Amino acid sequence: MRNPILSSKSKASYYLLTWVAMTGVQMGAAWFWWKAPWYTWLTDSLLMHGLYAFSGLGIWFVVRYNPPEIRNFWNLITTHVFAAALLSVAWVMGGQWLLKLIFGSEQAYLAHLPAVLPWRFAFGAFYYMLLAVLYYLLLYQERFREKALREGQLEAMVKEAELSMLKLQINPHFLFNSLNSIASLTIIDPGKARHMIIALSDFLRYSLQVEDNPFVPLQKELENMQRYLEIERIRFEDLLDLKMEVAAEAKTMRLPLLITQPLVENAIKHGVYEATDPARLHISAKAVNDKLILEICNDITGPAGTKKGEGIGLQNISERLRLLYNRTDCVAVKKTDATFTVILTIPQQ
Amino acid sequence: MSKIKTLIIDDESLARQLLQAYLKDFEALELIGECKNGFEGVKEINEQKPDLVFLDIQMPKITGMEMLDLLEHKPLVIFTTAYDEYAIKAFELHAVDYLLKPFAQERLQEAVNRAMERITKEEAKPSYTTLQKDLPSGESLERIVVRTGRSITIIPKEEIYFIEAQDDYVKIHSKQGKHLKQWTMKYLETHLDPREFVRVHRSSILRVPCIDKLEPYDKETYIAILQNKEEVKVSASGYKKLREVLGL
Repeated sequence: MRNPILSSKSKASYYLLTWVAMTGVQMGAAWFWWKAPWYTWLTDSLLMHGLYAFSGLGIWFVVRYNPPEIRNFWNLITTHVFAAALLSVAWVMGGQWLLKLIFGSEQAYLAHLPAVLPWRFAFGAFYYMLLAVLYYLLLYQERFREKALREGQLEAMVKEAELSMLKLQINPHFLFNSLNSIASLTIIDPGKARHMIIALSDFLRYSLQVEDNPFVPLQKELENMQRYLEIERIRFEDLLDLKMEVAAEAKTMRLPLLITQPLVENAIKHGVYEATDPARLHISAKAVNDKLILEICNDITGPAGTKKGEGIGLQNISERLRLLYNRTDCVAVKKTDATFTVILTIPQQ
Repeated sequence: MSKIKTLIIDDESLARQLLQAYLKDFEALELIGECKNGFEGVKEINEQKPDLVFLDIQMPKITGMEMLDLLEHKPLVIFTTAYDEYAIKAFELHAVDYLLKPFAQERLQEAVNRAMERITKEEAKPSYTTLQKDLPSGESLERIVVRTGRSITIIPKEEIYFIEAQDDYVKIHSKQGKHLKQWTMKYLETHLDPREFVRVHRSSILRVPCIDKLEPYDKETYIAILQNKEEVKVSASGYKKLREVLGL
């Protein structure tokens, strides 16, 4: 990790500005106390602060290699006290040596130097402390930002994984029974077998697609639903009494890919699969207040009592819609003794 | 040797037709009929007494497994199913064979051979007189199917009041009346949801939500009065179990 002050232009200029201000403060003090020519203490202030501004950048390495979590507290303090003393001594000695070189003949100025020596050490240590604290703050800020970023990415990944999990699980009962129907048709009616293989292939292709855009127009979703129902109709002949009512303006509205498939499968499972007489399936779609309202209503033909797996499909749909639209009112259920209705309300973005 | 009387039970017409087409090549078998569901199956089997039945599991109203429980006449059974991992495990014990749809005619031949072997060897009759299907762990019975004479009743577990032991049978008291079933108390105790059903006595299992009142009977035993006014004895250990379930 680079020095955070140097890695950003704005931070570097604030750093410089602060040192200019510090220089100004010292000049003010010198003007007040020092009885030496103005150019001597002006040079003194600029040189000393310039030196510290530069060497103080090195404190970053002390902080960087002594993050508080890897050492115990006293080790940390000792390291910093030692570093502060070393830097201050080097700074004061080096600075004075340079200043003596420049102003070797200015007696009024040289006379003051021993008196300000302790003050210089004190300021050296004080500056060290300020800078160390500043670097620790910057270090934490950077780490916090990284962590937030990582968490955001992780969340997005989890969400995506959840969505693809919820999207589709091909019902093995449906698949193997359909294949069995095809096996039967190859003997009885090869033309129809071919027809069913094509319908099944189209259905599987649609179900297995991975699309960048998880939203599709209702029209596409309905086409797939029809392929599925066509296959079920070949299996169950006249047991399926299907009615579809789709308003023209609803057809172009968008909804999540394959959101209706588990619902229609459920409707068939509790209607047609349990039926000995034709069972009704009524699907309708309309646009209300710029929202797509989709209703799937089926006769309940099965016996009373819940069966295993019931409700899980519906829960998945709710969860998927919640993740996609960030709202919980997308799924409603109406149940009477004889019918079961699921109503989806899909917002349009 | 007379021909083996065979019956097909499957709710899908195409599945029945395929099996029928396959079976045409089997000289030893005589197809005596086809049924679309378990109700028809019970009637047909009890009346026609077939030797061999091809049975689908997932069917309307009652499953193939539940149907077997209701038979007077016990034929040999070959299950035909598309996908049912649990059922496969369960019926391994009871059936001649099971065929996973779609299956080849050669595979069917194997199954039929096994059935014929059983018939010629005159092995003991199939052992599913008390077919008590094993359930995957963590799952429990959702309903019980019973037969009285020629009528079949499906009792959802929510309609049961209590179950009492009666010789080799259990008597199920429910909203639908009283029915006998050739099961054991032990089986029911372990296969009904333990949060709902408690064996309160050697001879009775109670459905907890049906309890109206619990009154002391003598020193350690109690009497449970149910919503339908029937009274059931609760033993000391049964009372302990009941308290656990009720969280007392």
